[in-house]
Amino acid sequence: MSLTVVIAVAALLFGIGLYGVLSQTNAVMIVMGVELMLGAAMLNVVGFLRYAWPEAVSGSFFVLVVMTLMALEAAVGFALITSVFRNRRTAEVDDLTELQG
Amino acid sequence: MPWLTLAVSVPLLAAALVAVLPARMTAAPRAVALGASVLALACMAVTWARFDAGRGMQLVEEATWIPSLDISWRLAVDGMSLALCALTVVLFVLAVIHGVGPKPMTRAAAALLLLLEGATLAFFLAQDFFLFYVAFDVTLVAMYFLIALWGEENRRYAALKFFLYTLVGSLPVLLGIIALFLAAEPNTFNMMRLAEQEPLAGAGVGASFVFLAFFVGFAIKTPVVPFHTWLPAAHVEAPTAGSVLLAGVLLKMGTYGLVRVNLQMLPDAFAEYALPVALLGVVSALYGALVALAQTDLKRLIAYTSINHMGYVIVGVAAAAAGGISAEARELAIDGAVLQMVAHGVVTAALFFLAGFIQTRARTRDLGLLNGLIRPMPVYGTLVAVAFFASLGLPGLAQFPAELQIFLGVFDVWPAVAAVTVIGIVITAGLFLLALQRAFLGETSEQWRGLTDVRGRELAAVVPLIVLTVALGVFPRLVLDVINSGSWL
Amino acid sequence: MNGRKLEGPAIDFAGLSPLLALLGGAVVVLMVGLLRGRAAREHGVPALSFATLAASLGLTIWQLDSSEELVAGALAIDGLGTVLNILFVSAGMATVLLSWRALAPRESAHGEFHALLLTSIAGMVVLAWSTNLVTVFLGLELLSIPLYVLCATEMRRATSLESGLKYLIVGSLGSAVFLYGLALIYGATGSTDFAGIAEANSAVGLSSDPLMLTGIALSVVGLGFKASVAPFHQWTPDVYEGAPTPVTAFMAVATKAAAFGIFLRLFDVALIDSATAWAPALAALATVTIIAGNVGALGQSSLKRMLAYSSVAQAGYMLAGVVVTSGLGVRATVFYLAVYLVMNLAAFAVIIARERETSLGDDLAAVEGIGATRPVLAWPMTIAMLSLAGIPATGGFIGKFFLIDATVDGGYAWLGFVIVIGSMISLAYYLRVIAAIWMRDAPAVAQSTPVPAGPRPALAGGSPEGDAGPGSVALGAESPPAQAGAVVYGGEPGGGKAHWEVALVAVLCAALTVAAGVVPQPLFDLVQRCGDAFTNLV
Repeated sequence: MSLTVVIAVAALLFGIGLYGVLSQTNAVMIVMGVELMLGAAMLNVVGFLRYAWPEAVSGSFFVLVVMTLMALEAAVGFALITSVFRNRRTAEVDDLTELQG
Repeated sequence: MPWLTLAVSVPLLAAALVAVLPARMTAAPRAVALGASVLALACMAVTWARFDAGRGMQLVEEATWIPSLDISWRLAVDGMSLALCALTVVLFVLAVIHGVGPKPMTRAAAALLLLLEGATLAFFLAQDFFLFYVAFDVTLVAMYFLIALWGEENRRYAALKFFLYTLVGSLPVLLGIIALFLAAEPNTFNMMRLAEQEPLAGAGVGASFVFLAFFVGFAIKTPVVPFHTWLPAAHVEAPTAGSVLLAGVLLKMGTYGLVRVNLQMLPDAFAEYALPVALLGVVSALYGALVALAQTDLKRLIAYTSINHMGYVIVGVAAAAAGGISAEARELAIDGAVLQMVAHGVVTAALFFLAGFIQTRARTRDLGLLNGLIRPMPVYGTLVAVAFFASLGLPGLAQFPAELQIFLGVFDVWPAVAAVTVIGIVITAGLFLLALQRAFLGETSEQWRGLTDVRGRELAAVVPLIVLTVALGVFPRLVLDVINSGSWL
Repeated sequence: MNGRKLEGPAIDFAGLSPLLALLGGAVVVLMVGLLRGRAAREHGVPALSFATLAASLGLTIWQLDSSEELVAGALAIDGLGTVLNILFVSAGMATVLLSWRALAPRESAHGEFHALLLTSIAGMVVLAWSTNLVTVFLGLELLSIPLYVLCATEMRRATSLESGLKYLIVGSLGSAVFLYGLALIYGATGSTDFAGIAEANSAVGLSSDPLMLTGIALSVVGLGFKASVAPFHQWTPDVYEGAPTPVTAFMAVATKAAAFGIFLRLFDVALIDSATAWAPALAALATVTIIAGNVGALGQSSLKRMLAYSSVAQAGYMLAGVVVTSGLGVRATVFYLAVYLVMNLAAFAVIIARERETSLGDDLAAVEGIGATRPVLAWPMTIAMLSLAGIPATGGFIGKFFLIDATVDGGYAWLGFVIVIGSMISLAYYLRVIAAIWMRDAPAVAQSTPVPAGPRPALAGGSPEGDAGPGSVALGAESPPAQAGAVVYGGEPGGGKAHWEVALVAVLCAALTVAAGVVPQPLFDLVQRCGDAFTNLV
């Protein structure tokens, strides 16, 4: 295991997440894609913390804060999706076409 | 007393006052507008008395405005500023007397007229480039509303065209101002210092670009062919007082800027382009005259003769900028150009008032339909005759001495140009005589027999202008002594 | 346990007080929102929320001159922070007034609405004060997450929910990309605080380090999403149009201020030594943004969409102030932010007023002819449009002048030229609004006018008995159809009523817009304070 491997895995995760956001039509899947991207960023930070800058503690704070925010974002995201679903009976973003121009 | 600041701020404050007047005081807007414009006139009268024609730029009033950008409230007068300010205050009093829009004058109309007056005076008095530019654009906004709200049928189109043309013209001016600001050492918006320093002297291509930026802006405003297409539309659609102010005062901003900025701050670049600019002026003069010849709408006819008359001014200024000109000829040309701005302001204002009067009575301005008007309206006919003769440059009336001086000045550098320009006078003479003959002489048709003659408020608006026309024609020294371009150029 | 006592970081509570006031206020407001009395919820909560913001404003002004570390290098209060703080809190106060009798807080419960608003402002404050990548991300999320919800607060209107969801997706995508960029910057420099990053950057010369460059690129993209910089701006019109208008107003002005605050801090402080790498890219983005925004705004008939595209264009202008990396540029950007805030708030307040008075929503038709019938609204809208177009004697002109000055001074004269071209294009759509206000007759709104934004079920909720203020007189005998139409508008309680607080915001902001154009010196003096955060710049 080395830093390069970590970075590569993170980049792969980020790519998968981005692909998910751009290709999926279901809002739930899109939010999951975003979570993957955030996870990739965290993995990066952890990798740097472990291999490149082990003496700097600020990286670990960074990871903790991001983890919390990730959970928050997911919670709000799913709440919103739920209310859209109640209102429209769909979670497919392609059906959300009221706003266009 | 800071008379210049007062002259600018009284109309502006009055505009704010009018805007907040309660709606039920129906007579108040007109009264306030009249009072404020008379006060501005008084301030300029005092300035005229205090002015020393031999001293160039003087009576400087200065206050720090935006220190962070080194911008000041800086007003001053020289002969050109004073002459044009005097014209401005007189025309605004008359415009208020005549009124704009429904009667009694609404709050909006009074506020816009006063805003326009304050901004116009600020423009002619400004010696700080920032203020100069702000005033330039504020006049646009005010004029846009005057045309768009109380103009004739096609007013919105005309107002928009006017606004867009002139605003687009003002943006290169803004870039030019910033260029001059940065070129000056130290950076400054102070126009007096810039005129002294001529920061771009010998700067080659850069100076040319800056010159062209200013020239395009001012040429649109003047207007010079080929930038003139907004003018006929705006003049024809504007309400009477709007046309009067547009032709009488606002057009002069273009030629004023040309002298103040292009000639005073960029003389080297202007010398390089003097001949092309003069040729554009000649084209404007001839084109305006020829197109006017083909018009049957009285307002449109006057609008095109404005292009013709402003063309003479351009030619005069260009001659003064030319390299080989002698000092006396240069002075003659500029004195003539400035006098022409004033004279054209007075005469054209009178013409637009008169065109408005016939419009309200006969519901038409078509010279092909009108005939024999002198019989039912003898006073009106006489006034029109005087104004027409003045406009075609008859000796003894306002525009003659101005045009004569311009031609003499131009003759010194480019005799051929002067000769061609004179053709313009011949054409305008023909067209005015033709119009006079068609509409005023001959048989009066049935429908025009019942027309009433001008009276009351209308006379009050137009007679002072006719008096001024004669006075300027007989005693041009009255204004020429003040202009005295030798002292500031 | 080794018996060693863990030392907590020194915390400067006085400096932190504006932020603490906001957070405390949010909790209190949330609790008061649970009270049973309707008056307490509908009037008490907004009043408390307003008081909280006023207190925070007061505390900010008290701290105006302080410039120090607050929490162990995570937050610092300085000139830029306090000035931006004033902007956020003022925008918040205006939003509280605008949403006082709006539909959104009634549908979503008042306590929650205002608590979310205050939390979002707190997030902005954290963002503006942060000196550390961790707090940057914390602030960004704290401001964004409540906003996602606020957009969706008109819960029975499909477009509002849709806008919330769209904003959530785009916003969190932007956050994720931004975070990835921050992670890479951390990896390249080994430090999360700005000073450390700048130090590492200048010591090692990371301008060509691939890790650093990727990090910078990704954080530009992420912030581009937040500040609606083209080509990451496509969400803006949809979200602006769908969100409840008071929220749109808040989003448009406050989020922009926050995003540019962090743009300035991140790029002109932490990454200043890599300026050669990012400045040309940002300049190109600014150009694209100015053009995309101004062209997009042409031909929009929805005022909110038009203002959304206009906000994109304005973001481009402000980006120019970041690009030049000079003290002048920083001041010009912050000055423009302040002016942008008041002129947009004036415009949005007028839109809100007309939404409540007519059935036309935010369509351009809603302002037609108000020059004659509602001068109290017509003038602010006119001034706002003139100012946005950059006509002299308004704050917008001085702001653009300042920015152009900064670009020419900073060697980006062509960018100044782009700003001028952009302003020329923008005239077309701003003048259209002015023409509609003054040159057209008020449309005779038939009762059958279809509601533009989809069906709006009538609410079971009570009417706030909007005590129609002085502004309402103009809706006189000549426009009874308009009133009738307003009732169709979702049966909104208080429909057809002109609310004085909305007109007040409009008039006040318009007055400030003019003031900033005529006597801008006080604002210049205020903006001057931002300089001390940028000691590295000339």
